[in-house]
Amino acid sequence: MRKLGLIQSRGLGDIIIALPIAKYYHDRGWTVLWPIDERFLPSFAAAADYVEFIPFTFTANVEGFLMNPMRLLKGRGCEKIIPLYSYLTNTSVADATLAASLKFDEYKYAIAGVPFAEKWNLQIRRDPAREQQLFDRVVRAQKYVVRQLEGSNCRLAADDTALGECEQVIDIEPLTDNIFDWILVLERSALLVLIDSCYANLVDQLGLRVRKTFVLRSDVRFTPVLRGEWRVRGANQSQATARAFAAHS
Amino acid sequence: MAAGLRRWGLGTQYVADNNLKLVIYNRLKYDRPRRHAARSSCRMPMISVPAASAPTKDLSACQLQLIEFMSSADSGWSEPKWRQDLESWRKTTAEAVYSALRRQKSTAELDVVETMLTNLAHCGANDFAVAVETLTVAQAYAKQGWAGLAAATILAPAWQATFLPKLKETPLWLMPLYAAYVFSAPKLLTSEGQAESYARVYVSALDGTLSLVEANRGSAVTQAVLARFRAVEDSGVLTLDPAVHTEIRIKRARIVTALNRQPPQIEPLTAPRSGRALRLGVVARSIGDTASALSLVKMLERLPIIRFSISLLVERSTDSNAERQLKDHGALLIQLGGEIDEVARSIQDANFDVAVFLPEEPWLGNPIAELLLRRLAPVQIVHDWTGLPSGFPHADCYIASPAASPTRGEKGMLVALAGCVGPGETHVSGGAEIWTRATIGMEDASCVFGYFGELVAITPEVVATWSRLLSAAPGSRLVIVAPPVLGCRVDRFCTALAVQLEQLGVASGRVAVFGDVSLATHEERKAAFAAIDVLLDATPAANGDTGYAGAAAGCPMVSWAEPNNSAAALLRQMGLSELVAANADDFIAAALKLATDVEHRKQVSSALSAASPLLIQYDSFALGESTAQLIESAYDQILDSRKKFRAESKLLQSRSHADVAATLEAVDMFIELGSIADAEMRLRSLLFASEGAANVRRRLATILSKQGQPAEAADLLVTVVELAPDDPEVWLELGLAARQAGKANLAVQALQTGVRVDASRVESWQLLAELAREVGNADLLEQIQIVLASLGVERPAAPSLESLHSSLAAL
Repeated sequence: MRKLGLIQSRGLGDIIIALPIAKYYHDRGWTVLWPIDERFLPSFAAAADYVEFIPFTFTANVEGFLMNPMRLLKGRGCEKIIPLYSYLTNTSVADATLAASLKFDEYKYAIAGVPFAEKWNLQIRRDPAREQQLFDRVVRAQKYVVRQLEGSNCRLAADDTALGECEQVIDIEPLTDNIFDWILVLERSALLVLIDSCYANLVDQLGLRVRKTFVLRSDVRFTPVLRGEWRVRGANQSQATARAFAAHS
Repeated sequence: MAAGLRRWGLGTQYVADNNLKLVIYNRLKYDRPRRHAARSSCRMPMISVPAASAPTKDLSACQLQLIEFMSSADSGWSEPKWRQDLESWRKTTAEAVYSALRRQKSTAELDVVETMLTNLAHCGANDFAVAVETLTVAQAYAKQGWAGLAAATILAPAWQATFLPKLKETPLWLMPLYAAYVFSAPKLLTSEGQAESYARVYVSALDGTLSLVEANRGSAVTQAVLARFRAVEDSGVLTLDPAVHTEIRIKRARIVTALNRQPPQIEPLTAPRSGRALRLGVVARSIGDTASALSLVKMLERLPIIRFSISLLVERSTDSNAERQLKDHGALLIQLGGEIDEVARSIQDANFDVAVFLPEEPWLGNPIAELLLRRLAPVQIVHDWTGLPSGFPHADCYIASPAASPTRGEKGMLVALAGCVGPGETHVSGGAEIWTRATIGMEDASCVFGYFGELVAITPEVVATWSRLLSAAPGSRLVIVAPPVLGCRVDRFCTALAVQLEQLGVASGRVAVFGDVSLATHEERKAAFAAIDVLLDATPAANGDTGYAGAAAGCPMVSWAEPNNSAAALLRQMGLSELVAANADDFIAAALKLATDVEHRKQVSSALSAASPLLIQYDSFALGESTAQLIESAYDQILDSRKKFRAESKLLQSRSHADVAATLEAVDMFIELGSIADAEMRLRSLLFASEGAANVRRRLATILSKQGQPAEAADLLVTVVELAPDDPEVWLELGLAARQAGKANLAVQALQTGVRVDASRVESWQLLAELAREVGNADLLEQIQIVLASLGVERPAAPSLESLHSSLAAL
């Protein structure tokens, strides 16, 4: 089988966004190899068995983002290697024309030559037992809100003054080493208030039918295209939770 | 002797016995150890000042007599009688000045005195020390009030009359006259310690001027003092000691700043560098063929165009070589006109990321210096080939030599770009002189020592050291080659030198001086250096680019361990520290060993020659990359925090990638990923590494060719053939790149050399045939076809550029 290498070594959200690209190639007879930060392996190894993930020790520089993955993929004889970054500091590895016009998620599909609609064809193998275990651990009420106010580079102030009819607010915290364990909690919630993060991407790409608010945090080029029915709020609009409750109620 | 070489004679035609005695006498009095004794003795036999009632000469008569002295200065300057008469004139005139100014302090009389002071300096009278007796009289006059001080200025030059008051202590009516006196620099140094002595007087006068400007910049007296200061601002005598020179520059910048007070500057908009080329504006009145401009061109001409876009912001276009070189490299020429505020706004509106200022002395009244008082770009760099801080508040950094020690200025002027100064092969000028032992009249010398630099740096202390060296090396000779410099007359220099040489027991015929010689091209310099055996450095002045030129020509040299001496740094870099002298004894020993030990001289020459192709100063590609890295680094750091950047005491240094193999692996990866720009950037980062230099350059040339830059690729391959002259593949690559760049002659030369190295290389013959066909050289084509037939190629076809490119890409 022909071997395809994808380079997107970290960023949980970025990897989730790009998983359908791997599936697309897998379905067309390619073996897809994907070096990722070893800390992400527990999340993805079981969930996306159509990808051969290659864990490695990541460093936050060109070596970690590009050179080491490149070496690993070349070492495994990849016929085709696609870096999925639309921007990488101190390199011009991205296609300047595409990067100048497309959002970062559109870029990944365009550079890989995969229809963008595939983004919402995210296929993961869920683990019902683990999901139920987490659900039982965190959910205490019938009607609850799930919120995530902390992203990798920002944190919003929490505000519980306007919980309204909801009986419980569940803040997403690193309770497991696998983000996919949260899916059951997310899909049964009365409302999701999610900052632009991997969880928002997961909810959107899986098409979970829940009332939801998306809290912006990035420049337009680095904000993903969303297909679900989201209410959108700015990160600088404080009291995001309260406003979200008010809007949905 | 070759036509065009002007040799200035040394010896008796300029020197008479009495003259010699005068110089010896002065030396005794002003030798460092004896100076205090001489001064003490001055205080004892006080000579009374003539009474005001005594008959005195009319000032205008004195002036007329001085004009006579001036007219006879050329022939009589070295004659004892001329000097004796001049001293008599000084005394008579001092008396007249004293009497006249005691009677009346009118502008007319002050003007006459000032004119006489100017004429004294002009005719070289201030280059020599006056007799102690005359100095004593001056001291006596100085105690007789301000009129007496004016009289004292006639009696002794400022550098000698160190007992006189400071400029700021004088009354306003006398200040312009006194400024003309203290700002009157000697044009030639004839006494040990003379330069240091004058520098002290000058620095003190600068302080006085600064006080005036800060108190009232518009007053008549301030303007009058500034006019006198402006007349000597660029005196070479003041540049001999880097520390003093730095102090002078900082004070001068403060004067310019005080004269052009600016409102608080608004910080320009900044944007991170990532993913874009930095916009660099060169701010200059014009880009002429000056040494300073050419050295700047050398740093900028090879800045990678994917990382920098260059604009020349000039008052007028000169169509000089320097300007053309930058334009050929894609620089955009923008002519700016109008008032200085308007020009500043235009530059600010253009949103440059980096502004490089080329001020050119003098700085007072210089519009570029006035622009430098403003914030025009986030990063402002001063290019000044002295490598010393400019002292201007909005100069973030300055270009220094790699050897420069950061000099603490004011308000954090510590960060320097440790780039490189010194014009190299980019110089272009007229025909080369023929420099051989015979043409310089030294065919019989056992060893020829050489000095290439400004005459002003040859102080009496330097001559003393050189004389000891000549005495220790029988049969050796010294050739001094000086560029054209205003203000220092070669004939007078020769006269003074002859006096000192004879006094030190060295026949003046052993020294030849070639004045006003411009060795502009690399070829001219190489030829000149080839005629000498050992290059000598002067001290305390840094030798600047001469050391690099000598090293590039494989000429052994001896230098001094001065902090800013780039030649010394170069020698150390090459592992030749034994040629860097800490004192005169070491200097003589090192030079003597080179002069007498031919084997040692050959070894040093070989070491220098081996390293010269990679001398960053002579490798515009390496220099370009080094400069690019330095500017980018400065930009990133200043964007982070200008305050922190300016507080940094370490020099910014460009660094080559330490791991050449790993970098080359990354290059492969980027090429595979199709990111040619990244591959090019990493290859460029290896340009100033010696390891694998030929391979790195060949690969970079291949990339440049593919990216449609065959001219740069060809230039780069020219440096490769120097490193690997026996590799026929490189000659073929050069031929190909040169052909693509439209350089047919270079292509033919390269291919012909290549087939001489390896006559069996069919591709070279084929490409040569194609070129012969293109230029219609049927004879050459026929010969090549015969060769090709002998190689078994029946029908010589033009080589496929694609196939050649493929073979190059496979390197």
